[in-house]
Amino acid sequence: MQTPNLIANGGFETGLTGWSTIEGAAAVIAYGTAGYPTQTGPGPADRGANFAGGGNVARTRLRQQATLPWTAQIDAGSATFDFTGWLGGYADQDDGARLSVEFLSATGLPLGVCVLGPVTAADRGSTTGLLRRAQSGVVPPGSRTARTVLLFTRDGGTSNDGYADSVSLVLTTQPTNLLTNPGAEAGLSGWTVAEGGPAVIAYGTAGYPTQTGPGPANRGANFFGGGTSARSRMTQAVPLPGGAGQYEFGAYLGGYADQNDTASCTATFLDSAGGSLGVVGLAAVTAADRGNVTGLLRRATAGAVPAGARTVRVEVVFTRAGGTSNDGYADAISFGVVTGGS
Amino acid sequence: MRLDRRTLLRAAAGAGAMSAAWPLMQGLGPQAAHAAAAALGASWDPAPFTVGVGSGDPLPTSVLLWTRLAPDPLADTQPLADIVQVDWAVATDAAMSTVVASGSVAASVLLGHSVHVVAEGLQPGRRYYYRFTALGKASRVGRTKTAPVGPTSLVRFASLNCQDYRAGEYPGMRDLAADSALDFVVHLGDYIYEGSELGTAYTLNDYRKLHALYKGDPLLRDVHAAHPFYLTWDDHDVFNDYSGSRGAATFVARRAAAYQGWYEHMPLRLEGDDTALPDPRIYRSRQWGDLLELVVLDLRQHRSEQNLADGTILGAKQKAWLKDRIAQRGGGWQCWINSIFLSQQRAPGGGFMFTDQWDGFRAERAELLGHVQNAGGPDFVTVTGDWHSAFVQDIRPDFDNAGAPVIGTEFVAHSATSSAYSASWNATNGPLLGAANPHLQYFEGNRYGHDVYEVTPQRWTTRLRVVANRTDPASAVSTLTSWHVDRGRAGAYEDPATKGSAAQYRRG
Repeated sequence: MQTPNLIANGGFETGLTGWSTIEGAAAVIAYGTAGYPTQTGPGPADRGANFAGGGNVARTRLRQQATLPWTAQIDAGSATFDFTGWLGGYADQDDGARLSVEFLSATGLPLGVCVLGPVTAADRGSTTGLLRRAQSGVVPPGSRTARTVLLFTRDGGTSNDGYADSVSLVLTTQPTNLLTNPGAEAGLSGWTVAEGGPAVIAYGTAGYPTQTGPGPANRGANFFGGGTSARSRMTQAVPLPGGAGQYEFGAYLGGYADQNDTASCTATFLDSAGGSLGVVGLAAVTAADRGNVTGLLRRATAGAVPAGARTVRVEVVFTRAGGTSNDGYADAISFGVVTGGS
Repeated sequence: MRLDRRTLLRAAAGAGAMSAAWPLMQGLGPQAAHAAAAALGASWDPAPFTVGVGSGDPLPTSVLLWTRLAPDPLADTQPLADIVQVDWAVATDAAMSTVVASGSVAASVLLGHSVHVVAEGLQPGRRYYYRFTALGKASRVGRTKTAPVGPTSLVRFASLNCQDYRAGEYPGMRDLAADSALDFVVHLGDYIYEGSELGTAYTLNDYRKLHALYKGDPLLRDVHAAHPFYLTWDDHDVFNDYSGSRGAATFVARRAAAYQGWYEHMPLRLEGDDTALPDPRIYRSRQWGDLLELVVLDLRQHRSEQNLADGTILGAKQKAWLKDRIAQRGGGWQCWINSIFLSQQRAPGGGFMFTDQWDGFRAERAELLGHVQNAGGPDFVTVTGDWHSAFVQDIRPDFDNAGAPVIGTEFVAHSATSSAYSASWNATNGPLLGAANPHLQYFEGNRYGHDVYEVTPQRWTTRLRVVANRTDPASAVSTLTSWHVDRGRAGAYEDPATKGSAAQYRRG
């Protein structure tokens, strides 16, 4: 699960919106302006119309601070970050832009810092443009905000030709799966059969998916199937942890060869009285999706947990298109949440 | 027999064997670097707390605790997970039996696994002990002290500066660590030297290893563990004579590496709304009861180039802040922690000795000293480093006007190890400096050491502590001379008991 870019207006497409000027005066410059980076020179592929420069002062500093989501995952050391910026300058001049982010505790103490750039004239081969700089790592536990600073410096002349574009800070975490027995490794335990007769099948059983065909990388020994009923259905309801902010719902779903037996999944958010607050679904994988190859493909969706949700009920439906065997298959069903907002 | 650092390095240089002697040379693996560092006398505390512990910036109810996990201190990459939990505790006794504050913090690879913890909820004006634990190991126990509040009858503190590792050993730090009556230590900068002919630091890894090497001196670790520090920096903490305002990308990258390396190895409390690593705001004010205000200056990060008509050594924000500190000063002593020479220093042959000093920013100095004069209090002292020699001098708002009043005293301390001019230069130029600078009272450049300050509501005393031999870590330390400033009367005078001590200039 990933956050959107936590840097507001990281590409300066809306001027300096989101950035506070701490020192100097930045310029927002359109690619292709005479004497500046162009749309086709070194720079981000999706560079948009604009980038930022240092203006006409020796030093310009921009800052923005973002509240970090996923405090539980951060404090558990299970949230990672990707910090990226495109930084550059003009020809053989050594003006530059330096990008940094600090991960700050609740009291504002830095628990970690990443410094990207500045990109020197030598780095650019004395070519006008911007180069990508990036660093990844674990968000330090205890971090609550990220303070990003862009420093543009001038080596000489009038114009501060440090340039920056496409500044990005994205967090990633793997939410803990709330479901019991998500991959049929313990038979049907944890699941309630609501209709028909779901089956537990070992990979490699003759006429079924194999250990090496399309399916989860860590698929274990078993997967779920629809049995011999035209329609089989199994459910599992689990309480949501307090403060659940975002969910990620996924499963491997599949079928047999060119047959269109399918499995599909839904997750229903329930309030404390058991009333539905919304349903999200994972679409069935058709024979066409599978290229008529026996196996399972991943389906996933993510979003915000509805306010007031206390329980999620996951349902898997196996549907037979024809014949005797219900060859809808499912494995690695996961429903995870992260706490602390999005 | 282990050679002293200076002899070993000189011998290695002569033999063209720098890389064997200097562990920071590129291409030297950790094992070889350790061996080379050991030959220089380096040793470390048991892993993972190899570089020791420290405390800094004490306030009345809190103190900053510092350590860094570096199991392999000279390696580019530490054999640690990206995140390591570090537990800390503060106790009222050295046995750590009565714990009054504790907690846990994540040491991240993003800050070199350094730890900066603010221990809060402490009592003013009392000693505490602290310890870290991580990876099943405990650090040594450090000792610290919180600042008092209200009426305070005495503060004793010391200053250190210019401790070039290659130039000598640190016997003065043994003296300071053993001084249990000391309240704190201030460091005036040039904590490290970027290197010179022996190898030069450019990258974050370079600076990390350089700091780790310095912390390989057990006497430096001991003094950190014994007392809280208030630190500032000077040029060699990045490189010689740099100006923080320079804008070349190559410089900005190097400075960021040096600043981050410095922060990772120092017990510095960050504060203010304009501080952001890797460029911490380090100018700050600290109060020791009603007796003393330390005004810690940053004379590197925000300065312009020297000798400009509108040049600044402070930068606009720090200057405004300093003016405010001058205007808001309380009834006690105000002491500037001033890394480089404040007073004017005319060269014997004309011009100025060094315009990298405040002499390169004369208009700003005159403006500020005018504010000091207008603030009206005579109890103004600056504690200065950088020059590698000791000076005592009157501070005047206009150094070229013999009629200008004396408004304070500047004490420039000997360096811990960094080499001074030769004895013959000092003998020749001491009197010439005195003649060219009427505000100069005293100059001594043949010795190394530190200053200890004893401050009461009635008198400021500066004791010049010197080491007998800077190449011997066990060298004796003694007081060369002492100077006093009486409260309410600007201007220093030498203690009659030590007035006959060696010096290359005394004002008659």
